[in-house]
Amino acid sequence: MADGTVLRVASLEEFFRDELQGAAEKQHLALAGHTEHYVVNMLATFSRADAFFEPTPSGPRLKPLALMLAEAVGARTLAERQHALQRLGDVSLFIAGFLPQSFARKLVDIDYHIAMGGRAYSSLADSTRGSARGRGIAAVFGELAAKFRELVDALNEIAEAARPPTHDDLLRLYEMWIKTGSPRAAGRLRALGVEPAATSRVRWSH
Amino acid sequence: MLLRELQSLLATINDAEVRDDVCDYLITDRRLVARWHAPTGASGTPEALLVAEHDGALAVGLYLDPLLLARLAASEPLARLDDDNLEDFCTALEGVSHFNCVAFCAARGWSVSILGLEMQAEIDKYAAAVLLAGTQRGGALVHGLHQRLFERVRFREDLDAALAALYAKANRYAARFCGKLEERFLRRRRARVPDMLGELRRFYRLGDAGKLRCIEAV
Repeated sequence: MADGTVLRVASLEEFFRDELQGAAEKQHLALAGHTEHYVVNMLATFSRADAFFEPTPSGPRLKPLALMLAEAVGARTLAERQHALQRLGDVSLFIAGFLPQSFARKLVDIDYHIAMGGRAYSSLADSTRGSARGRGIAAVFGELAAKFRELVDALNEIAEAARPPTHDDLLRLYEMWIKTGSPRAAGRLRALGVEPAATSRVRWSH
Repeated sequence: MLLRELQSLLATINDAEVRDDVCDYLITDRRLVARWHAPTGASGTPEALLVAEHDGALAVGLYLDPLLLARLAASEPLARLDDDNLEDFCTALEGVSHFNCVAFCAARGWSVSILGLEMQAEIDKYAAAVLLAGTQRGGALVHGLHQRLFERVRFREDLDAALAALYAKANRYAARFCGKLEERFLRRRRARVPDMLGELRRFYRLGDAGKLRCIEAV
């Protein structure tokens, strides 16, 4: 895939499952079966632009995360709130994991997406844990919240396999390591001949 | 466009959907403002809502300084509200708040006064900033926000005495209401933001006189 050719796959779900399992193994990330299934489904769903973007009078657009959060907080029913939080968590994970190059042109940091997505999944885990039916999905959201950054690393791995690294990627990897302390970013920097220095990391609190 | 997103944010906070898109009413050419209302055009204000009633119909235009809009769009306040863009954010949000409030009240045949518009805009600024800043950079900007928005405030020097007094009154009332919100919903171990939104939504529908009574009672 890295040479730019198109890869034909029988099923997007199978493709993403194989890729996610490979990336998770490489990142030493253990995921429960249901959580892996959730992420694979989310990736396959968002590979369709009409599922990722929302229709607006000026064409398909992605709502800012802050607006998604406001809708979740202001939702009239629990079901509406959970739906809005799930969308916030999913979109944050997809952007931070699959579209990390989009941050290079923006002031918004990847750690903002990690914080927003992680908190959304964490709130979902809390609000679904109470019922017998919700306990299973609460465990999935809880794992997504607890391993959000590691999942972003694994998805970065899948996304980067699709194209060879450039000088811009090197800078972005360095910024990501500075902001999130990602072990994967540190490993990639070393592989590209850059030794990240521990003293240059900024501590961020969220 | 950012203004549309600010409009959605306020509509969500107040649960007050407005059918008209604020971008369709945006004016960024000061000369057009001067043609509608010469004193406002000459004032140098970065934001003004122009309203005229004619034969039972309402004509509305929102002027915002194009340089302010460009600065604001580049600084992405919805994801990164900070000391550098807070003033521009508040100015733009005030315009959108006025627009939403006029459109919401007009659609229901409610009257609205300048005092009511100004007071609501101050409250909208506080609520939107709390909601955004609370999720960014560990909520650092939320601390001291009430003081920044309501105490360290200055009014344009070219305002006549009556208008300056009206702005000061709107600021005083909004400060009292938002201070109470902060005390009831935010200064706790776990902030009760959904409850705060419930109170804001109830307040939004009180009408000018009801809002003043509500604030005087707290």
